[in-house]
Amino acid sequence: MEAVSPDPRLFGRPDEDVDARLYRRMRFIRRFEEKLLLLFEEGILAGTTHCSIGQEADAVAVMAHVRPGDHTFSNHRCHGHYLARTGDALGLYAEIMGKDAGVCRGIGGSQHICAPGFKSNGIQGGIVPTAAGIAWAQKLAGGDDISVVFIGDGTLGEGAVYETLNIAQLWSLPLWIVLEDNGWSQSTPLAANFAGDMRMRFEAFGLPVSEIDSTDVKAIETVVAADADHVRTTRTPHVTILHTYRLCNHSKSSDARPEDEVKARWATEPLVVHGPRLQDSLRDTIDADVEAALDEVIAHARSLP
Amino acid sequence: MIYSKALNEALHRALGEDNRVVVLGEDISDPYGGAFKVSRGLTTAFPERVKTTPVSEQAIAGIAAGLALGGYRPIAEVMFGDFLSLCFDQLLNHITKYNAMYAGQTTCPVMFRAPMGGHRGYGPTHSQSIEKHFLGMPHLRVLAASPYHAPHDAFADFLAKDDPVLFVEHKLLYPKHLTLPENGAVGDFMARTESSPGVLPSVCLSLVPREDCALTVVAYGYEAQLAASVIEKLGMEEELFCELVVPAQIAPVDYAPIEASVASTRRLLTVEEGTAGWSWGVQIASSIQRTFFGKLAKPVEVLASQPTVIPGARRLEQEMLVGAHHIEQKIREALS
Amino acid sequence: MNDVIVPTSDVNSETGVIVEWKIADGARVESGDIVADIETSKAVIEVPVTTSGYLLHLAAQDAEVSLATAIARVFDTPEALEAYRATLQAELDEAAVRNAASGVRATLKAKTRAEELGVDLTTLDTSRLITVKEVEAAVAQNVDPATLPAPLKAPEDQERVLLIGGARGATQVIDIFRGNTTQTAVAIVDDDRSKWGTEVYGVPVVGGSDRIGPLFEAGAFDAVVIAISTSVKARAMFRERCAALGVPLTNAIDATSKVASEVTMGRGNVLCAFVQIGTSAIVGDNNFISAYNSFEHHNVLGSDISTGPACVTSSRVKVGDRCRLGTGIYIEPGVELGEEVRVASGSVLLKSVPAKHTVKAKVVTTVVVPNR
Repeated sequence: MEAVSPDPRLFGRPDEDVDARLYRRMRFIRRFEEKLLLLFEEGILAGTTHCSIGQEADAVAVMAHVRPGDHTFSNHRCHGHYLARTGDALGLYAEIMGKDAGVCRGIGGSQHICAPGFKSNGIQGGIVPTAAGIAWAQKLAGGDDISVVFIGDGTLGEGAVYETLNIAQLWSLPLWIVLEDNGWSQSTPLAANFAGDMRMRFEAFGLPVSEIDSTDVKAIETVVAADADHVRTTRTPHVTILHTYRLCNHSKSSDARPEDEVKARWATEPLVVHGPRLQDSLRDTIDADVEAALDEVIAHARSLP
Repeated sequence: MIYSKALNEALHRALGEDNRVVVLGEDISDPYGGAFKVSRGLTTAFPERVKTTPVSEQAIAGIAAGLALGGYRPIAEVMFGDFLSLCFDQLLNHITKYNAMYAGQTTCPVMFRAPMGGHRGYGPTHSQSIEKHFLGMPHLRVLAASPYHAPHDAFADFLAKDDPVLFVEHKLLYPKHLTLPENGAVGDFMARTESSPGVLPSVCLSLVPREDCALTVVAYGYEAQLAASVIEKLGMEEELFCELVVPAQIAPVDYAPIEASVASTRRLLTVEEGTAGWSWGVQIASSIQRTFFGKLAKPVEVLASQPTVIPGARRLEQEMLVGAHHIEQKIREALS
Repeated sequence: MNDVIVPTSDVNSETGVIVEWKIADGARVESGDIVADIETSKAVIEVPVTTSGYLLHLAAQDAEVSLATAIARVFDTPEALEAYRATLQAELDEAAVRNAASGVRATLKAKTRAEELGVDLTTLDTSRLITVKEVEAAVAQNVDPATLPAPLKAPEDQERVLLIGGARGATQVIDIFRGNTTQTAVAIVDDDRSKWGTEVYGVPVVGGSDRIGPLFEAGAFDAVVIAISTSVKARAMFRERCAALGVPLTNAIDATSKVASEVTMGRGNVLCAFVQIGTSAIVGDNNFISAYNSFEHHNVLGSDISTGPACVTSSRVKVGDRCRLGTGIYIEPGVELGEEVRVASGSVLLKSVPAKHTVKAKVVTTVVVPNR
């Protein structure tokens, strides 16, 4: 695959103010997925897709501290992570549309994405030992690259996760596990799925854990900056628990969460929290940039074979 | 040299010659060296790249996958092949997917070494030959150890290509001597190797030239050795002559050596230790009967073990698993 | 002298491999010393000695050994050990000489055939496994047809018959031909070389069965009768060979036998003295029916059947291919014998017999005592 050169209207210029860039990237992911859902409604996409609307701050904050040599493994809900890492809107739209220009030529679809330093797979749990294996490869190779894996609260039901926690700690692997706890495993609330203490599940294996309950990209960034640095410098594993909330449905179909609960969360979604830090005019400019750029990309993607 | 020792030497050689090779598995550290002693000496010689793991097959498989994605060539020892069921998700939904699912952007060359097979009274969950559950898995190559194939060739094949491999090693081969073809012979058998380009060769054994053989028997692993002993006996005592085709790669099937033999004998018997139904032999039978439609003297016979649990009691196990007496009976039927 | 046996409870392994000798051959051992490591499919077993003395290895490192027999022996003195070793070596040498002398690899059938045909296996190509095919080919090559007797001449109105088999069956067939005016036995072939050149009632044994084709092509005979009376397998085999060669079979029917009206008779049947075939019976090919047999009306006989004397059937009996009947058998009406049924002498069959089954009979035996 040719290296993708991200559109500065979506990804920002290198000299852009940090707050503006964080906002721009979150806005990019948000609008990418909202437009994607419209494309589904339009009937031109097949299958399913899992959007991350409401969780954009996690992706943008973590990727701000992932370096080119690092490896990121994501899951079924991978659009935000992929876009925050690569900025490749066309490759992902084309992939989900099943076009040959898609990042995996239309074979992978929404959940199975690959780019240099990035992979995702729609199977729960199994990506965690794989990410640990990549971490071992990085350790054998020397240097300071790290392996990042994103999991959700629902994935804590998978046994492979715990087998890996044990080995990652035992063998001191540079593995960074980012747990996005959005409170719902598809249609099932955490309370119905989860016993005990989330943090202690990791601490039982001796892994250090940091934890934040926030949709503020800057607050999250502060935490993850330290965590990334810890894994990179000590070459040992670390867990970051990001408590967040998914505003969209699990996948295309509705998931029967209480309407009031979802509605309340819209008041604290990442763009609402971070947006006011920008002047209104700048925000409007960014919004217009993103809108125009994405419309161009979609028009282009539609025209592809 | 006995098979387990040859295997051990081949592992030493692979680690020594190719620093991409990493070996992991349960209880493989010295001095124990693995449940069947195949990994003896590896942790001492290559401490960085050989690691004993906790009892965590999913993690072993997943970590091996990650190593492969990261440019290494992991060889994972699965203590008993039966435990491959615990690696199944990694094999089906991860390892064999990555190359094709990502449109060729990455490869995931992992090798699983799996001691399979019964005849020793290890009972229902430590005696199975479960490779049939992996034979139809797209993008997975399945190799099988045999007394007629040098184990080093399997590793060289794995290292030269980019796809994942399951290497099936029948436990009973470990203490047996390797009997590689030398000067066109294995003991009293005439031996020749045949293969399609890029595929590890099949070894063809017969007491008399192919044109004097009335039946082709295709078998792998320990069953190949059993079949050879039956074929030798029937040939020497009764002049019932068969040609035995022993493939090194059992999936995808290399049909060329089998077809070359069947074209002459017009009869085929497949032998495998796995349970009957949906099996290796059924796949071969389907293809051969299609290729030779109307030209076979008899329908292809498929011999496999009874589709039930492998009993712990040896007298029951002997009835249930394919043994020499079953092979002899089938050969007699095929030649009657 | 004490045997060193592998101490194992692993009843599942019959053999193991000597991974390492811990104590050298001929060295002194003390009771309890570990002398070797043996690897079975299940474990590595340490082998101790239970007496002190001097150790003699009975197998080399890496060798596969039985777990039931000794892998080493312990002797009280080095002298006893060396004496025993010398005995072993002498046995080995002797065996080596024997093996070198033979140097021939042949199948069991080939060895038997070679004996029948008087072929010396060491004169054949010993680089490959010798089979019956090679033995017979060697015979065909080694014999100059010119040295074998020629078939007899016969008047033009006679059917000239070649007999296969030069044993007692041939005498019966020749006797049948002496009693009729249309057929003459002109030659016999037999694969027993010792019979070649001999005569049976004046008919020469002209060679082995490999001569059937050439003699027929040369116009030396018109048809064949297989004169082998007891082996249905041999009868079937030779019938197939003749068919393959395009050589016809002919019937040999004794003048005293009675073949009734509307009987359908195949080819190659031998009917000895006083045989009766009832009305509308159907007789296949290549059956050897001994004297005083009576197959009643509407019987159906297959092919390649052989019977002993005095087998009597009632009506509508069926006898399958390659059945072998003993002597003095009675078969009730409508009974059917499947293919390859064997029936013991003295049986009385009231019911049908499925294919490939044997009828055993409790024959009333007699006791012989000296006269008073």
